Amino acid sequence: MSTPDDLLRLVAKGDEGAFERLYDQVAPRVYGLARRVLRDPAQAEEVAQEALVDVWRLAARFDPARASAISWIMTLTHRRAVDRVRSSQSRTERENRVAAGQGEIPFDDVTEETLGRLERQQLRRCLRTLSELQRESIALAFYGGLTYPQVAATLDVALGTVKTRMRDGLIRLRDCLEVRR
Amino acid sequence: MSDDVHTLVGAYALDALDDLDRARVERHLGRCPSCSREAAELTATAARLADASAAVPPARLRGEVMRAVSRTRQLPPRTRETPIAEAPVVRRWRTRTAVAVAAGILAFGTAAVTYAVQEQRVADAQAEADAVQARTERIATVLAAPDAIAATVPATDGGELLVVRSAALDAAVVTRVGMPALPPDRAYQLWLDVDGRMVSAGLMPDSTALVDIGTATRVALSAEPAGGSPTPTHPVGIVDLG
Repeated sequence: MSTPDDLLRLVAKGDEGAFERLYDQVAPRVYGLARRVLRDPAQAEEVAQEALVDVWRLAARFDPARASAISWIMTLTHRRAVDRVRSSQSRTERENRVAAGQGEIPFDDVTEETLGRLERQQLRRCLRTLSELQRESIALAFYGGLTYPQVAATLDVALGTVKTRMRDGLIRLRDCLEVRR
Repeated sequence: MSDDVHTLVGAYALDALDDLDRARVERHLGRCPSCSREAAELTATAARLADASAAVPPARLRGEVMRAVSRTRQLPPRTRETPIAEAPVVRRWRTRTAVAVAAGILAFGTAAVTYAVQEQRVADAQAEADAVQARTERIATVLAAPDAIAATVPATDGGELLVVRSAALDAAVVTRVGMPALPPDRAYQLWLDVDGRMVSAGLMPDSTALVDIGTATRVALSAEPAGGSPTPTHPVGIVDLG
C-alpha cells in the first residue's frame, strides 16, 4: 500500500485518484480531530472538508524535508479547527463546553485498522510520563483550541508557566515518541 | 532567539498563539535554523496527539470532498527567490477582525469623499468625487461581503499591513495602519504574487487600496523609489492569500 507521503507527491501533480486513496487513509484522523476540537458534528464535517480540500490545494507546497505527510495534514487540520473555534460564530457555544470537560486526554473508540494500535498505545504510554500540568496545558490547547493565555486563565497558573510547560511537555513527548519531524 | 520568543515554541506547535505572537515566532524561526528544527519536531509531536481522536467520518464527506476538489485549483509551489520572502507573513484569516476593521476603513472612506466634494474649485470636482465615491462603495462592498475575512501582519518598519478579502468578489482591500510616512522620493507600492512572480499592482499613495485577486496567492507592500520599481526592493509586509 502506498504511504501518505507517496500519495501526497502524486496529489501535488494533480492526481485526483491518488487524492482519493489519500482520503481513505487520513479522513478518520482529520474528521476525528475536527470533531474532538469542535465537538459539534456538523461543524466538524465542514472543517474536515476545508482541511482536506486544503491538502489538495496546497499539496505542491508540502515540503517533505520539513514534515511527514501525516504530520503536515494534521497540522493543517488543527489550524482549520482552531480558526473555527476562535471565529466569532462558534465562540460562545464552545466556551461553555470547554469549561465543562477539560484537561484529560480523551481517547475515542475507532476502527483500529485505520490507525495503528501500536501508535495509540505508545501515545497513551508516553502521555503518562508527563506531569499533570504539562498534560493539561497541552490538552487544553490542542483539543480545546485555547490560546496559551486562555489555558493559563483556565488552570489559574502564570502565563510563563504555561508557556514553559507546553514546551517542555512537548519535548518530553517528542523524546518518548521518538518523533523526528 | 530571545528567551521570550523561544519559550513560545511549544505554544506555537500547539496553535495556541494569536496572530501577532505567531508572526513573531515565525520571523524568528526564519532566522534560527535550530529553533526552526525544534518547532518542526514539536509540531510533528503535537500532530501525533490526533492519534487519540480518530473517528469514522460520515459517508457523504468523501463525495463532498471529491466534488470540491474537482473544482478547486491547486496552488503552485512556493518560490523562494524574491527578497519578499523575508517580510513578515501571516496566513491565518479571521472573520471577527474583518467586522471590527471594516468600521475603521469605512470611516476613512467617508472622510475621503467629504474631502473630495469640498474641492469644488477643481473643474472636474464632481467627476473626481464620483470616482472616489465609486471606489469607496466598492471597498465598502468587499468589507461588507458575507465571506469577508481579514489578516494583519506587523510591517517591517512599524505599523501593520491589513488585508480584508472576499473570495466571492475576488477582491481584497489593503490598508496601511500606522505605517511611517515616506519621504517625497519614496513611495509605497503594492504587489501580487502570481505564479511565484511578484507583479506590481500599482503605487499606493492612499492608506487604503482595492486589488483584484485573480490567481494571486499573496499580496505584498513595499517601499520603493518614487515612481515605483519593476520588482520589490524593500518589502515591508506580505499576506498569504492561500
